[in-house]
Amino acid sequence: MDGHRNVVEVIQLQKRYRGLWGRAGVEALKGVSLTIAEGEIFGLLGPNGAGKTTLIKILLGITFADHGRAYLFGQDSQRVELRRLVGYLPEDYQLPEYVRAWKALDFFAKLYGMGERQAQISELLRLSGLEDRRDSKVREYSKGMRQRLALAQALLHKPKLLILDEPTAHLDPIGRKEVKDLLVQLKRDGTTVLISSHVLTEIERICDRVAILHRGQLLKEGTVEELTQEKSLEDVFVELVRGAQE
Amino acid sequence: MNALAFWAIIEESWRESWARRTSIALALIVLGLLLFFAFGVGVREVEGQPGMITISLFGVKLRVETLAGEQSFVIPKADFVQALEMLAVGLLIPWGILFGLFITTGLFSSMLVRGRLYLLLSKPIARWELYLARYTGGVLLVFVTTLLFCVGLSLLLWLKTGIVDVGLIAAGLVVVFIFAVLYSFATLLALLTEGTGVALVATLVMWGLAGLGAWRDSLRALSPTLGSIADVLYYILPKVNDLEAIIMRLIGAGESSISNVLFSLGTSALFAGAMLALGIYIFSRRDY
Repeated sequence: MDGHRNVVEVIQLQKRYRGLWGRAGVEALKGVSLTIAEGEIFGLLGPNGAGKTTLIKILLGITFADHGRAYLFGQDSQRVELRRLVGYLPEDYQLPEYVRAWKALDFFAKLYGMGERQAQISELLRLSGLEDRRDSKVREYSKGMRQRLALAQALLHKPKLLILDEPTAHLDPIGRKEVKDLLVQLKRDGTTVLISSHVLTEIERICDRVAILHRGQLLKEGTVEELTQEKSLEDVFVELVRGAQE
Repeated sequence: MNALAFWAIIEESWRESWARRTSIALALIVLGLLLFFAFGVGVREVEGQPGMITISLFGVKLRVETLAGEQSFVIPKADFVQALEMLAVGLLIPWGILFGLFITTGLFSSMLVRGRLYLLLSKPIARWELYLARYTGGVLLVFVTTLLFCVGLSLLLWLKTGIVDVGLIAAGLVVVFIFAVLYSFATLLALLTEGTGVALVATLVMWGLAGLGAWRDSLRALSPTLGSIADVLYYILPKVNDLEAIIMRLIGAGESSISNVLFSLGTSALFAGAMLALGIYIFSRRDY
């Protein structure tokens, strides 16, 4: 397999959300183009409303682009079958509260079409530190435990591309460290990761390349080393966003 | 098609309904009615009068006042069976359908909650499958409950009277069909409004308007315009009155010609198909 194959490729992606009765609404993406190579951990940065989540939703077929193209593994990202290769942790997720943790994972595993599920579910519950609470109902879980369970559902089918929107939200420092270690491990295993986060230090430490979005435009894209030659990522980010606002 | 995922969505609808206690309430109502009939209603053959029975409620014989004084209430077995079947149908329409719509429309709109939908839409299941699976889950829930009620009651009637009548079971299937048609409209409205309340009210209004078909001649006598409106509604909306007539015929309490049966079932199924197709079309193109 070609190690530099593009797993994600978006070309001149544009998206405007329509207001009531079709009135012009917010322009979420204004011609964004970027690529993510196989095995990379790619960070998507930007203030609230930058268009990060819209970009991710277009890649997953949750939202549709007005113009431009989005490809996953070289194919149109709208293809439903491609989602067998993708794991997704949304920023705002709602797990089924009324089921036991293992049953929730079993449900998601069935959605991925997994025949043999139990071994993988047990393994992920162990990795997430939820093994002892596998029979607890999701509604009895703390925020941090739910976050781990939500991450586990994204990893169930051993995806080749993992898309994480604010994956460390609700996690304590130990949980954050564990997620970071997990991402590094996934990278070693060849998984491509697209991570959207507000926590710049987190991005700086684990990402190979980053893109900074602001009001639907791509302000900067490059390796972490390229962007942080003179300043920290936080300084670069603030400078770029403020510059764009002026 | 991802069959495992399709079935998982159906299963999930049931599990959610169970967790909300609404399907438990429905099951308890059905069980309560069957238990009441099993243990509360007594039937005894009248000696020397074959085919005639007396009825008791919790051991107390029903009596009627006649010119000759108070006497036991005696009724032909077949009439008793038909009366009970009519009572059962009267419970299913409208109350069973109303309760079914209340439970399942809530289930459908809960799928549209954003955080939940993101997790579903990011899985390898097409939107049309997701929509249809959730719809099927609701219909199956009502199907199982209705069948349980109708089969249970038919069995009890057989045990108590010796009369085997599958008319009530067939009637139950038509009740489920009426529900499925109304539910196709309710899911479309739930999709458009992303809520349960408006969808339920609009479905009830549609049901009421569809019922105007039975009054077409009377409305035309009042005013030709009203008659024309009733005609249009009759041909566009599902034929609920005709379907109810079919149910009455199935339990031996009415007449309905074969052409009416096919026309009513066919056009109502077409209506349901159109509502589902429109719902799937909108759902497949909507941004979330």
